[in-house]
Amino acid sequence: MKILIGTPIHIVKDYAMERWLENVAKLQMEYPADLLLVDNSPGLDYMEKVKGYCKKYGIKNYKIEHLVIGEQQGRDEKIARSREIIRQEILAKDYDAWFSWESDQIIPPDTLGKLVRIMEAGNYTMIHPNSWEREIPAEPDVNFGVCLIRRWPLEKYTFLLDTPVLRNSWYGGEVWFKKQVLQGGGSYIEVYGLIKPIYHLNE
Amino acid sequence: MKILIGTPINVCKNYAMERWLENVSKLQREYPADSKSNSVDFLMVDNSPGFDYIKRVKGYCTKYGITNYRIEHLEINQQQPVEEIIGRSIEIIRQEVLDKDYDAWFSWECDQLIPANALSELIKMMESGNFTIASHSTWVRVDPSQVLDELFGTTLIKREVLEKISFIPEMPDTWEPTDKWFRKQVLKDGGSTIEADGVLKPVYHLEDNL
Repeated sequence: MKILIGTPIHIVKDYAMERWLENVAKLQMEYPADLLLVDNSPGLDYMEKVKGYCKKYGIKNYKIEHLVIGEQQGRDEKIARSREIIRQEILAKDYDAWFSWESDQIIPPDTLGKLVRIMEAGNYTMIHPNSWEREIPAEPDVNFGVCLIRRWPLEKYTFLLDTPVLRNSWYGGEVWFKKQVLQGGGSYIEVYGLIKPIYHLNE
Repeated sequence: MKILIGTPINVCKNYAMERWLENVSKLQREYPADSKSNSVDFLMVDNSPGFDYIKRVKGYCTKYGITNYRIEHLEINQQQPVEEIIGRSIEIIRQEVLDKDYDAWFSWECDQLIPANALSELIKMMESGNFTIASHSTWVRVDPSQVLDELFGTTLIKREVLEKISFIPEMPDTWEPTDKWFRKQVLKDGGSTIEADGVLKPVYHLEDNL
């Protein structure tokens, strides 16, 4: 499968960024995939810092887009607009799937290969390995933190907050997206205990 | 795989029983029971008061041509909490899985209608990652728009985990979190689960007035 790792980033997560990019480099060695970072930090300075991390860890196959958005906008709006840029990239470049991988989650390098294998075995639409709540490591955290999503629902459903359902809730947006997938005839898988360990980094 | 469909039943679910047993007969025909190593047997544990309900269920089985089945009766005070009644019922199933060398328990609640190929699909899910448990969701009975977050409704569970974890007496005091408790034990022990929505279509969770 031709996969895009697509991740919104922001300077507030800089505490995790270097470790995460080191993780990305290892994962790309196991499963070649392109990387698109959408930086919604204020100004362009943070992009330069991230480019430095990429250089340090030998990541060459990547792009960074900058999203200019008012800092007074809510987090949900920033994430949704960042995801929309990723969605458009997937559609424009004929990717088969989006690997949604948040920049504060550290995963084993063989994760993507395992998820692809399971997705293809059952022709599933979305597959999500459990992570945990940052503050409560015993609680499973089911969201787009680590999630592989096929292209076809991305062709149908946007992330822009242009519906009352999506408005003001980026988490609600994920739930809404999953419901659209199921209503559209797709399937959704959660796996627990297969991808381990997963670390959800807290500052 | 040698599989046991194991289901606690009670007269209070009689509204669903006939439709469910028709569904069981179709699923048994679909799953290729072509050898001792590839078969599906069927055990019901009736925890209703008295023995009358067993006779009625046997009648349904006859009607739908189900011959490969057993019914055990669990004599238990109906005043016991539902979690106790269910826990003791599934413990009987667990012992049967262990005694008869089944590879897996197919936990299938008697108010859930599923496609005839459901068991094959769950096996495929299980084998896709060598998972310990493969489960499919259904909906909340009183609100079909809501997904019911449970584990034992339509679920295939490998024998190896049943060898280690009993349903009594460690089971918590409510049956609903029991499945979450069970999953935690599985994960702590190094096992894994795969849980799906939208793979089996359609799935019906029967309500008394449907």
